[in-house]
Amino acid sequence: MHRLMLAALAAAVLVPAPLHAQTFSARRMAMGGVVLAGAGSGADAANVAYRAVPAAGPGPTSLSLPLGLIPFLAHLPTFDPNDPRFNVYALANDLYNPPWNLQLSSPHTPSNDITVEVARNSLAIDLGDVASVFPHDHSVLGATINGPSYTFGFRGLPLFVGAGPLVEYDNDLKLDPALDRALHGGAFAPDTRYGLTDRGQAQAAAGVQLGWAQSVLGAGDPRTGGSRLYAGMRVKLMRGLAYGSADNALSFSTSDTLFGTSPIAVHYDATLRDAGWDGGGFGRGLDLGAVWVAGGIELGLGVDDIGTRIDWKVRESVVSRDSVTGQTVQQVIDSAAAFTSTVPTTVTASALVPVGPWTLAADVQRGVNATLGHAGIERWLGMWAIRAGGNVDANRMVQGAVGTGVRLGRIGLDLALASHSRNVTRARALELGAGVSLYHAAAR
Amino acid sequence: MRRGARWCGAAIALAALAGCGDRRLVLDVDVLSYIDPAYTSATFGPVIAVPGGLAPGEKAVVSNQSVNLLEGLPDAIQVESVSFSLGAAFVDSTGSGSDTLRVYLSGPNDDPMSAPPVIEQAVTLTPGVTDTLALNVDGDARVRALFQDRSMRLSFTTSLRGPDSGASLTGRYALTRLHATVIGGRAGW
Repeated sequence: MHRLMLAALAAAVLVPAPLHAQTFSARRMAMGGVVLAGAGSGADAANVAYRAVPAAGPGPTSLSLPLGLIPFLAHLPTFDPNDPRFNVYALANDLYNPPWNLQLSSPHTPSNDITVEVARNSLAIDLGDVASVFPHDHSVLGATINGPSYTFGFRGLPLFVGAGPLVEYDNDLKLDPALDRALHGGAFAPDTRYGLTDRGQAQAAAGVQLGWAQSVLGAGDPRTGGSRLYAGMRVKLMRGLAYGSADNALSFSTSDTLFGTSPIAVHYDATLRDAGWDGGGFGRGLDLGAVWVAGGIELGLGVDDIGTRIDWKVRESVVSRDSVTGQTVQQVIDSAAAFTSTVPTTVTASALVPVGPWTLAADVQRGVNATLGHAGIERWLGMWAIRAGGNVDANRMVQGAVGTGVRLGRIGLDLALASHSRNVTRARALELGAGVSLYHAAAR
Repeated sequence: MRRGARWCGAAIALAALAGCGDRRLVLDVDVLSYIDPAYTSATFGPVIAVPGGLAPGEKAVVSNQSVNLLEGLPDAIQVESVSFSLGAAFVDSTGSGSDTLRVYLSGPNDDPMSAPPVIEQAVTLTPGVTDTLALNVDGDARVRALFQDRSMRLSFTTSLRGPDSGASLTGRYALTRLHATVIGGRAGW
């Protein structure tokens, strides 16, 4: 599981367009994280049809600079729970938000003591700042990371082949209304059942991609007055590398007296599935996309991971809590159970519209456990670019971004300042991203 | 995956029960609430005057009372300290004397009075005077271990001693507060 998490973390750092992770492109980041059409960063992954769309200009090859690694490496976190510096909130924040971009304002981590008041018929918990870890409905996270992929086209043919990994993870923690109230300022009541459920899954696979993308309708060069509809398809054939899932249910019921003659009994049940390399089987999936380009306007619809499934031979176990001893007991019920996992479908609708000297871009993405929206604008003033944007993130918070770019011949430098809430308390934080761009033409 | 499940469990326990670094879980147990109100106040005496003072001996006011705590606490925290605050009022109507309050705690399967008291406090009783007792004491390693369990047992005793001479000792007492404050840190996660 640790290896899987590390793989997910590494992939999140490396790829350009995970669904609601950091944006590893300073240009995109400054434009609110929008999926850049016009053959921009993130376009191919979100919409396979963009493989066939001619670039709007001498699009640069961008390299994101890991500014956040410097303070991270200078103050490496400890994983030893007995170390006074151990801070699992900070570790969780690093997982939510890998230290790639420079965090200008660190999200607040809960720092208060937690007070539990117990009397014979009263129980009150003051979580303080920790209460903010529990949202009132679900606490969800997740992403599907397709890539980085290395693809090759065939001269004269609309076909391509490639290879790359797929990493997907998601988690959904839910408190029932009674527990939600009790953890947000209410008191525990007699004769009440309290419960929470947590469902998590992580999987990784790697394989080959076989694809097709070309213009299917229209005429002329869509960048110079023509109009064309492009379509694309990508078939993914994979080999499962690792899988893990846990369905946890925790509950307890109070009697007519909270702490009467018998202790409160806590019930815990979980179903676990895990597989490593040995248990990995065949995986298959399909991506489809379409883009319409006319007069500089682009409208795209990409659907990734249609029916993506991976076969496994998993170790299946059940975990329960012994009501007598209070110990948690795990029992393997099948060491090689046939199991097929699914990868959630991601849908991306994008648009790019030039308005005078401005370029406006927007997208809406429906992915793992969240629907996100991004919008951004860009304008070039000679060698300088100014950018701004915003997005509605996975925590349904509106975030803003600004940035600038400078181009000196074939070299460009981009900076972006953006707010986000990728931390356990969903507090707003500010980050700085930077990137170097290598332009393929000498002059703009 | 077993490690993964533990990670999830630890994350939940972390969020629910305690913090990190120097942050602590503070468990405030109202021990008095577990005692039948009929036993938290009573009259005493008369204890007649005899030279040297008559001592009827130690009497249990609350005997072997069960106090249930949070299940799962032992898995989540390591008890670092326990302190008690005890409040009582003594109304001495007549006579002089003394009393000694003792609070005993034990594990769920032991007799509380089989071990030394966790609180022992002598009170001097003066005729016509109401004494208010407010006491804070720290528990030792044995007491800390008791709070690491899911329940415990409690006994509360008094030991009156009457006057050397004069009027018999009579009065009443009321136990007004008996709280245990447990400070805990992470237990191996």
